[in-house]
Amino acid sequence: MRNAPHWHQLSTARAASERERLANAPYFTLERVMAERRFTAIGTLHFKRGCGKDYRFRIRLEYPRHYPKTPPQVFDHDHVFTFTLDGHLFSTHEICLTLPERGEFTTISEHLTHEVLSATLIWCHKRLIFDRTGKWPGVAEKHGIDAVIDLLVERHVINDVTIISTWLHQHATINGRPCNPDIYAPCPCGSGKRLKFCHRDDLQPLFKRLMHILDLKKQRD
Amino acid sequence: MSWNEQRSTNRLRAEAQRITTTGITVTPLTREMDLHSLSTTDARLVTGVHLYADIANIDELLEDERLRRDNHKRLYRLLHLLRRELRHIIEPVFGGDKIQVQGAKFHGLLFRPYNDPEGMAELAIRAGIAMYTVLTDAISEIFPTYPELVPAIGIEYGECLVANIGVRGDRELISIGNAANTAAKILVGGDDAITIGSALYDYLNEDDRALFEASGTNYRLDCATTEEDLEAIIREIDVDWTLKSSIKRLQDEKDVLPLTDISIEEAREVIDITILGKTRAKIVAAASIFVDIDGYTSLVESLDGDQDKLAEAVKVLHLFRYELQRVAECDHHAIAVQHQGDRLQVLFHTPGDDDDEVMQNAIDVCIAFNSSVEDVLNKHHALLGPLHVAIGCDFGDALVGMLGVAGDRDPVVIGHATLFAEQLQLQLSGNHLGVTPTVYDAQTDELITEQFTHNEGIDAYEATGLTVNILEAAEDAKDAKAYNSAAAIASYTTKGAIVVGTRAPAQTVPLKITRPYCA
Repeated sequence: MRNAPHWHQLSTARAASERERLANAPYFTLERVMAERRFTAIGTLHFKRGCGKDYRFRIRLEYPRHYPKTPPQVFDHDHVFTFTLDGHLFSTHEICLTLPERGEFTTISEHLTHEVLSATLIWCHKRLIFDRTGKWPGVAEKHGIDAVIDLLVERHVINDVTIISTWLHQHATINGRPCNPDIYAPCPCGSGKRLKFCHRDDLQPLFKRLMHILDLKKQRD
Repeated sequence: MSWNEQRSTNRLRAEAQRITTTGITVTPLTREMDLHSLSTTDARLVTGVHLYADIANIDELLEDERLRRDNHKRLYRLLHLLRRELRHIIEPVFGGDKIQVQGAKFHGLLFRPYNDPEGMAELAIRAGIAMYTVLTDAISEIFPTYPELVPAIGIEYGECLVANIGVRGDRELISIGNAANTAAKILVGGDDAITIGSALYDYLNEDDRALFEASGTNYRLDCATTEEDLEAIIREIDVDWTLKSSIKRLQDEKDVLPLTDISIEEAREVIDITILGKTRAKIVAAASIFVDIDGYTSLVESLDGDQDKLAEAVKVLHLFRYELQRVAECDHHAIAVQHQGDRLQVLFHTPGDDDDEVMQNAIDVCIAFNSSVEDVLNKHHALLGPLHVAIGCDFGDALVGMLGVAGDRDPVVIGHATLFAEQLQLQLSGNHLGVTPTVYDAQTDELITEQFTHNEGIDAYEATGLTVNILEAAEDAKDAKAYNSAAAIASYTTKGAIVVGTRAPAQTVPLKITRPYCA
């Protein structure tokens, strides 16, 4: 898999149309695209505020191998923003746009580029407000595992972190290492049914993330 | 482009460094010096008499049908002739210097004979009388069909700081000091009269004092009703001036400047004031803005002649002048018309935009001025303590031109809006921005209108401490509230702004709002 070609290497037409989409976004000025191995685009998002101030932020989009099945990662290229947990920025200067499992972006779609760019534009706008007021405007996920728990609660799967934690350690680890869960184990929702016949579709995308977070937490403890 | 705090900070830092390296010297004016050879880094402390000659009924002249036709050509020529003649009176006849022409107002300074206040006072009131006579009798003789001019002459004696800090490389003197301020202020209400301040009155001889009557703290010679022979008063001293000679010069100048040579057209692109002249002017619907440094004159007075501190004061003035001009010209493409003492006159128009848009943008220009002063100059360059600006703004037709000859030219902007904007600015204190109801009503952005309150006393809308950062804080609160709404929708407008609300405006690009997270 490591040597498998990237999406843009499979079709130059797709790469060209992606460049065109980036170049046509009215709020984004494409600076350059690097496509030797990984497809990476650098450009500037720009917007005005009612008070008359102009804002420009250089961002870098790093496209995954399987784009557009997975959206590109967006980075604060000039490190303008300071890393803070509440400011929704990773220490790598990657912008936290959305919890991938929430499925906010329309993947495998020609709209994905606009969605990611415009979400980044809104993120920058919100981040400006956050930097001055100290409060993130609008809805945001909680930090760490709580965000995933929230998602599970929203999907009516569980309402207690300890239940899912215990369940994962019982049914999704081998010698303490995360693995695919046993689909014939009882569903953590407490219905008494097997996972396969109950909440498998809801839980499957979250297992890896939950395991990873729990693993990190264990290491910290 | 619009105002940017970082850009403003950077350019001011560079300019402050440059001026510190260059250095500014303040020295008293002596017999060997004159104001003609004043460099931009030298300032002079001048003890002399300030004379202001104004046309008090300029607003009526603007409306008069005889002067209005052909895009105010007649009024423009009249202003040109007057500037030339009043300058002649001040400079060759009375040995003084023209400081500036500010619209219909002429500012002259008499500083000879040196160290002889009685001699200066005697000359000054005669110069005032000569100016009055030109404005009335000479003009009536040359232009018998024109409406009569109502002159107002203000004269005061005192010390002031004179510097040469022209906008466009032309020799353009400014003077700072109470004497100049008083002379300008006592003009108001002094129609058809010569009004002098008490300092000047004290130096008059008995005969000259007898010409004046006390009027509050000032003294007034009511020229329209006096029984004195005004020309005879001038003849009492040895000066080479007669009414007849003035009439001849005005007639000669009129003959070489026929109306057919003057072209006044509507501006179809942003006016380049440097290419205007006595035969070329423009008419434009524009916003007139006056930005005045409140308390600067009293600051200079309080320094009590301390030359090091005065040099600091000139440096502060230079930085204000530099920054305000750049805000106008670089950040907003407005026209920095003229520095008038510690005040800047600005004209803002954008051909192609409708009037409402020009007025909306004009408020942005005003806010930018205040932002530069409050958030940059006062934060980083308050050498003698914080200073604030009072800003007045109105919108209307303006006649824009340039009077004089190469090397000694005065830009002129005449219009009702200019007069109202100036009056408004004069009534406001520092860190206040005033706009007329016309400008306020054109503003559609609630974020801005919410910052203004109606001041019934001056029939204008007034905002206190309004800066871009204050406005942005209000915008932050509004946008945060909109984002917190469950039905928040964000869009990108054609003007490049993000709008957040519960419904998308027409012709905008929808933007995606996501829920960010952090692992």
